[in-house]
Amino acid sequence: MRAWLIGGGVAAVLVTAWFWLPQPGDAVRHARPAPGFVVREVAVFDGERLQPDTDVVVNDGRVVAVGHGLQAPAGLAEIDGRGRTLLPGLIDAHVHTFGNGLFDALNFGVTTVLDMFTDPAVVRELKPAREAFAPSSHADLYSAGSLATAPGGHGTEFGLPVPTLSMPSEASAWVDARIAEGSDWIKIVYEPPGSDGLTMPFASLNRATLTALIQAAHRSSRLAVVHVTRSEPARQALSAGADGLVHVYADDAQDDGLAELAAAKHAFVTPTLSVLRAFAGESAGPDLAADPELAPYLSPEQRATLVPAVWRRMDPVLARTFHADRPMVAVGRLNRCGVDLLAGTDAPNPGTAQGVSLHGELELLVRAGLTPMQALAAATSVPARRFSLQDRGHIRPGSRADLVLVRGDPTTDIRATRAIVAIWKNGAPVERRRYASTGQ
Amino acid sequence: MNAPASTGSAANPALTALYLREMRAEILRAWRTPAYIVPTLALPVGFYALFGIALAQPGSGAAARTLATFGVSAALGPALFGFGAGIAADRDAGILALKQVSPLPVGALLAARLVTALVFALVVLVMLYALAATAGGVELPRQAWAALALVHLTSVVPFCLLGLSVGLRAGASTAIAVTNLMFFGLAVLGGLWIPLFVFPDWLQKLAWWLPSRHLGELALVAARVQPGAGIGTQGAFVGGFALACIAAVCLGWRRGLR
Repeated sequence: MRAWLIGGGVAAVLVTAWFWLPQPGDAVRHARPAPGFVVREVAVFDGERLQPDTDVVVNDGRVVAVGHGLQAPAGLAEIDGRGRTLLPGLIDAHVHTFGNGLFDALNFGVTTVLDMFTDPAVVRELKPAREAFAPSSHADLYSAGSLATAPGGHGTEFGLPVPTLSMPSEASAWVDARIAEGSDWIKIVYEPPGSDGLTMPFASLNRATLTALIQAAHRSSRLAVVHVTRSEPARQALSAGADGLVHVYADDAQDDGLAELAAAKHAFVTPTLSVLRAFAGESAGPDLAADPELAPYLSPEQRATLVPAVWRRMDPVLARTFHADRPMVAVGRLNRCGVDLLAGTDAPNPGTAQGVSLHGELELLVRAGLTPMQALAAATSVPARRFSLQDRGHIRPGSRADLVLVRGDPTTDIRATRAIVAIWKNGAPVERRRYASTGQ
Repeated sequence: MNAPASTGSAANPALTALYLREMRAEILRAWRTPAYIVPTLALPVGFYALFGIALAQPGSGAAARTLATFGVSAALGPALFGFGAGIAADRDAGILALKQVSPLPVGALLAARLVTALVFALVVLVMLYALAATAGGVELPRQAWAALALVHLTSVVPFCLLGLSVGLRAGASTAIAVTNLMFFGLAVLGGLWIPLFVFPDWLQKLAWWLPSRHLGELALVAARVQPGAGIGTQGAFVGGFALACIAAVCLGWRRGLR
């Protein structure tokens, strides 16, 4: 009798505990926004242009007012903005999310990342967080989830299981499966053999499958973005209706017609100069790791990818494809043709790291011919518009209060983005993590 | 506590009491044996707190994955150490012989040990889930929590059978060594602490033959980390493994209990 009572009691406790276990979105629903604040007399880069000597009021995780001499509600903290510039939280338009990547990204003012291939389970788990207006200690994630590639193609070499395809007839079902998994858009790897006889050291989808995938994505109202590294596949992807290219073509910058084609098709390009130049032996990594504004905030993992101890020997065909200067010339042409350019790093590939490399990418974009203002837009309002991120990439009433306050004026000197004074995520100050020097 | 249905003991009140008494004795004894409760309770909770929570920054997106596979490794301990090392120690100490000459059915002896393993697995899982819910950032639909608990608790059974087939064959000190090796081998190579895809290809192929890998996959499906396409194969593998262990137990039975 006593045994049954004990058993019944234990069962009742377990069932009660089961009802108490958290369900998806619980943390987001129960969290409260941080107290508001006002930044006074600050230069505001609002995502498109500079507004000097402006006040910005933040409350309940959002920007509530932007203007001169604003009357803020009583009790809000006041922050001196003189000599400083307030930027929308930065958006890295090409990353791969693993381990502590989102935490590391936020530590450098990157508040949103557009992930171009990761474990779909990671995407599902982190999706609720991006709707929240409560304090958060990591960047928000939007993602392609798995990528479309051929059996043995690029993307299958990392060990993460990838559902591959090889025929146009499989495209529709493949796209439906990604959407069911939680993909925000469709990312396609396209590296076919070139007409010059150049064959990449891995398999690729054929042109018909590329086209079928783009069409299937569009039928489901999703963007279709394409990984290319050479101009011929880039031209084919644009002709097939790709919404964007997630690398700039690195092989043939002499071809002027391609930039015009991208412009005519209203496609965007995420050049990822950081990774292309690293593959060409011109990594910005060592410079970034030595910058006193950046170095103290680099985690050991970030250091390991930013300045790899051993550079993997590159396949000779790939080595011939990547060139340090040709992608810079291509970016200059695309910019002159009015093509939307998005700042993306492809972190954490060798020579890059989450967060920190976006500051390097901005500098490279300026060196390639963008004005500092255009480069800042490439990391804020342009990706927000192209990926339909409603309340991000701008500083205006109603925007999510993802903000970065820097010393100086990055609209004249782009390197000023590195002099971070404060970061806010959803209106809550981010306590930047400093790391002990690693003995250099 | 429920009496096991397999022996048909429900018809006989005296026998039921015997089963219950043996279970109670076994649970109490396990509770009073630090060599049993430290590895079975403290180790999995400590491992999960350290590698699953403290060393992971927020935003890894791997909270559910970590709980799913660490939970299977938590079920390994009570099963392997209780049955494997425990039976061997009892035999060496002569307790098994004493119980054999007493009017205790051998079914009660085994049932008591299985229930002890399940109870301790339940305790460690409650602690793991509480950690996961409060500090680990795990949020799952209610059915997924229940499915996960079911997979984790079920994991105890095949590992108990594995432990028993070791305990019947080895002496006490050998059994401790063997079950420890098995514990780490099954946990590491089964991908319970580190995802399998980071291992080289040949290790991944080897891992396919481990029941822990398949239970880990079933837990990932239960936690909705992975699609459920392979659960037929995985379930069949675990079932086949359990049958193989039952065969091994039967073969070692006569010699083993003396």
